[in-house]
Amino acid sequence: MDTRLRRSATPAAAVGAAVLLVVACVGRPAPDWKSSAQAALERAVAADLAGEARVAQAEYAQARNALARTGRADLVARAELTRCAVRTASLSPEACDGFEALRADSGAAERAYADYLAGRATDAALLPPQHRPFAAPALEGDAAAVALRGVADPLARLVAAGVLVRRGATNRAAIEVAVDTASDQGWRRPLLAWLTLQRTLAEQAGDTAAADRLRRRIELVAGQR
Amino acid sequence: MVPELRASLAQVSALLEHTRDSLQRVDAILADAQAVAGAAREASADLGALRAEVEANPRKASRMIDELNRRWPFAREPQLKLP
Repeated sequence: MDTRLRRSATPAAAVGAAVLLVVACVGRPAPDWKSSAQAALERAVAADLAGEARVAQAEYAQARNALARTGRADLVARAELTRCAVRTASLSPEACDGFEALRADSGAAERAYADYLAGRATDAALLPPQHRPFAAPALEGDAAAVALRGVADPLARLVAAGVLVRRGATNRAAIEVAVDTASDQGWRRPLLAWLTLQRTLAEQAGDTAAADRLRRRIELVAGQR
Repeated sequence: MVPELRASLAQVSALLEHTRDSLQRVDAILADAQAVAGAAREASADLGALRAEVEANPRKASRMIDELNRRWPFAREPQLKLP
């Protein structure tokens, strides 16, 4: 009995010690504004990509509100730029007004990213690493499509594809990468935008069969079928 | 840590219960509004207050979940990375 007790107590003590060790190693939790802003921004992006505009608006406002509590324009600018990046990924033509209001007080990296999103020339070294190849003005067409396939993060891939469209440096292969990415992720809003672009190109090329197939696919995504 | 988590989970359950209760009251008012057209104006006024109440509960739950995430030993350091 005694031995059995000792045997069962040893693993329990080990687990307890491990838990204590983990808790001790964690250190202090991140400040409240940081985790609330991060969580709200993640929910905003997810809702925006899913095409739930009202939810996205409320969550962006919540993220901005949490960041504004710090009085740091660079952080609020990052939330605004995230919103603009998602718009770019969805081929929305809106300007990034939320960021422009903060431009004077934001950092060089934020300004470079805003210029990149708008399709303007910028210093590639200041951009997040996954976007640096797309800042090169010479990158276009098939080479751009290959570069897009090399971007691991699906949202960054769509953002880069959107920037290529803004710069007029895209082609059918690049658009197909964007359509496949949005479809794989089930992101309704960008998928509708990219399919519509694909359909317009098919119509312009006189490819009626492809245009009809794309129209049916668009209706399916939009819930009209 | 564990008692803290248990207490928070109990609070979440209480909140969800409260939300369900508020929603049931909204349902009852909507049923009234449909049944008696004359009561619709009064019902709309009540709905305004109830809606605020219903909205407050998910907000509280969300805050608590954020708090749990923050205290969770394996929580990653939040970073605002540009996509």
